[in-house]
Amino acid sequence: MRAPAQLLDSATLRRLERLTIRWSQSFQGRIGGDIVSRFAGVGHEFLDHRHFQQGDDLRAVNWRAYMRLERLFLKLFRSEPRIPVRILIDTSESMACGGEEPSLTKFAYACRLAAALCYVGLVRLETIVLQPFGEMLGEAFRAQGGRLRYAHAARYISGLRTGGPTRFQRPVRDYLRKYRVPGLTFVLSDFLDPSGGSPPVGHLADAGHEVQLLHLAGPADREPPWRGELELHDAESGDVVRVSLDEQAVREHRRAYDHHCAALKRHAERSRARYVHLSTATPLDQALFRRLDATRSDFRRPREGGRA
Amino acid sequence: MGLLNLALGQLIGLFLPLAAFLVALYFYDRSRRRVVVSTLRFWPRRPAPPVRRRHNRIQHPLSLLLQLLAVLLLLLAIADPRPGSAGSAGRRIVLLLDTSAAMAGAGADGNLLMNEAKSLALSYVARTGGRDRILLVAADGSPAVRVPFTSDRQRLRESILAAEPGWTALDLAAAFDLAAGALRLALDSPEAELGERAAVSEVVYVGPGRFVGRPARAGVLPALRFLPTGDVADSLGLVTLKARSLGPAPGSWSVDVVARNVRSDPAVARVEFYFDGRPLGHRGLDLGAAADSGLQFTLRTQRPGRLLARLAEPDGYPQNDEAWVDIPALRRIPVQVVGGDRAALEPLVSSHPRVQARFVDAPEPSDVTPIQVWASGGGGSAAQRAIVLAPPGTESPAREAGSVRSRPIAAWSATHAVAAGVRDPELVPARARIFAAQEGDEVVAEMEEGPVILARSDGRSRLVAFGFDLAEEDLRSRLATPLLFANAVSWLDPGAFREESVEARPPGAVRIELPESSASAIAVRSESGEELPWVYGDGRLKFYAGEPGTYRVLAGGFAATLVLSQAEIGTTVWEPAEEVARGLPPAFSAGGQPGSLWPWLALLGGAVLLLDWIRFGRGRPLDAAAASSSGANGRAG
Repeated sequence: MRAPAQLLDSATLRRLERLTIRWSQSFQGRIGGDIVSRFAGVGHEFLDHRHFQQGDDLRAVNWRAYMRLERLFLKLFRSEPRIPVRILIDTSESMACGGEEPSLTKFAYACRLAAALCYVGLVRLETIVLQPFGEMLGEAFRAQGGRLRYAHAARYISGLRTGGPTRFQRPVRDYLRKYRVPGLTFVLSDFLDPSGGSPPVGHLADAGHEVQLLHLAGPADREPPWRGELELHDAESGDVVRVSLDEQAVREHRRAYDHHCAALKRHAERSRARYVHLSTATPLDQALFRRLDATRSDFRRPREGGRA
Repeated sequence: MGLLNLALGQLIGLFLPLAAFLVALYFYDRSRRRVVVSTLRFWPRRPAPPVRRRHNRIQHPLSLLLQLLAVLLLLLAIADPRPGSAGSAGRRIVLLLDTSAAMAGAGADGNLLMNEAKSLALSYVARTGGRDRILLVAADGSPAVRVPFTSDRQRLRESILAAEPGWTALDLAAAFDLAAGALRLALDSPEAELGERAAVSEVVYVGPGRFVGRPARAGVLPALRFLPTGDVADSLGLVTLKARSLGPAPGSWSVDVVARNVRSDPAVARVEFYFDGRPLGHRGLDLGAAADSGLQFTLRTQRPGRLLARLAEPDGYPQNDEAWVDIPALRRIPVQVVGGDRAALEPLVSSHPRVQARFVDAPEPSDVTPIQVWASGGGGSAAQRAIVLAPPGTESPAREAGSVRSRPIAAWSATHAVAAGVRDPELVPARARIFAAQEGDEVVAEMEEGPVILARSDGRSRLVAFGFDLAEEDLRSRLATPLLFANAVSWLDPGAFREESVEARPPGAVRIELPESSASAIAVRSESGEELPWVYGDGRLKFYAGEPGTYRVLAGGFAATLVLSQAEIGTTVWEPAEEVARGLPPAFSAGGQPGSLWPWLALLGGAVLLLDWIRFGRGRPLDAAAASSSGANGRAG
């Protein structure tokens, strides 16, 4: 399944500019996009001059001062060490299920949600990493430099497609190796690992990442709309189950699903991660402005001069 | 077993595609829908049957069989199977439905006989076999086929329901003859062998059996069934009312009334007469059992009006309790006598009471064109109808060739109406003019010297020229003289001396006594002017008028107005022989052939469908342990 071509409309984008991404834990030596650093480094804003030393970057030499004073001075810029925001997007085949209409599938919803997060971050000059995963990590996309970069990110998201099963162990391991700098990590997934195991969220937290689990579920995942004689195909494993679906079977399915959600939530809390369950039937605006904002950690409307 | 609506091949040809469609539909309906879900881990684990099922496997053979059986039963219902020999062509049945005038009456129970007969006929048709072919005959005074041999029950039912009582009495013999003829043609059997075909044919008469005319020949029919209805309750009726003008006495009418008693015991009928709304009087009539009786009286009236005869006591059949005729105005023949000796001419022109003579010196205008009699002086050429007596030579419309004295008339025309009946050899005018006949002149009488009476007609005007004076002293005492004058008037005005007759009688076959002398230029016309065919023979004019109405009969010296409005009821009640079957045949076995099975087959098919829906309806799970897991690689979900 391919991601939707049209992710967010302009009205939604305008409304998203009111939001900002917040985090709750402290990341040593790194700050967010709207917080000024006291350290010099690579950046855009001039901080000071010092004498040129061997090995310095010639591009930072103040050639105008050299012309006037015939001495080499090096320009120092304000350092901008960002707290990376990484969005893990589940591209397993199960994400293509969950809704009768393609727009209600979990993958489509995840793509639109990732696009929204990306835009909110870009507006606040955050560095956003879009990292798809399934059985392993996919090719990531790094977006930074303001809202003008959103179009590239949207194009990247629209190019994603589902396929394969979900295996949390290997992607998490690779993720920890690839991204050693801790940051805020959103995991957009249905958390349906065919092996039945829980995602190793604890490993991410131990590595210093602040983890936010966004559990996506389609309407049919909890409340199957079908009745009668069915041949159920597992989207990831290909297994087939023949059932005679009646009200009793639906009740049993609903009970099992609720149990799975509760267990996942408990597991996230034990792993110092946050957990939000989102149904794809929930409008995206409502999910962004109510559900995520209500956690008081991921999103918050900016206050005058305030900070988290 | 035979199929009425479908042949066996057609039934199979319909069933096989339907069965194939049903089986395909069954597999589609019973196949599980394929649904891709995110995971199978939340679905309930239930014990799986050991055998893996496939989509195209019959899971419930009983359900499929029930559906196929229901389709077969419904198709059989459409085919309308009729038990019996498959090769039998069915019987030929002639259904004689009495539509005589008696059927408009009510029986002793108050119900119309026609409705009772229709109900019986419909019941009989419903009990016939599907292959039986029925001929429906409307039996009245002139039995006629309403529906030819057919097995189309709907058409028969519609025709039976549309039947209405007529105005004529039943001619049962004619109805049986028609039935025998129809069966003879249908079975291709000579009449002598028709009685041996009782197994394949039947004649059914539905009605009270009241008829007129010759007795019925039931013996020629192969098998006869009588479905009796009630009979007309307590009926006396007027059959005819006839008024005939008495020629010698203008304004005198001979009135004849005939009444009929259809009861089985004698009765006395009191008949009241009215003329133009005013009572004339009444007369009593003694009527024997099932017999007619008549009375006669003379009505004198100088003016037209309606003569009405009515039974004083109404009975159970009011349609024939009264009869009426319209007495026409007395016809006068205006004659203007121009000139001449009035004293001599008056006995001649007044010899016929209808002639209304007026003596004038010169022609006078009149509302009605008169016949002009020119007795002196010339003239008559301009008149439309004229008689010229001894015209003077100078103004004669006929050219004079000479004159003679006291010479007898040597020859009379044998064909001309003016000379009809005049053969008097002693008719010797004292003085006569000899005419020179012109082109178009007809010689009525002539002497040896030449014509003395000429008749001239040019299509627009007519003229009779006498070469002598009819009023001369020697001639006016002769018997032939007024006859000759009357013939001339009659030739000039053909309807002048016609005998008028008005009569009210039943429709149907009409017979009128008409002497040969009057049987010329016969015409029978309806009210709309339509000419009816007629037959003349043995002094009787016969024609058939099945519809009520007023008809006009014209002949040479005869005119009659017939008001055919009297409903006629037969006086004789048919007594069928012992071998004649009576009443409806047993239900579903008319003639030994069972009736239709299709309603039962349709009900059974519906019941089978209902049973299948209750037991194997789509909304019900197949069974409690239907959930099974399987996959291409055998993995459980």
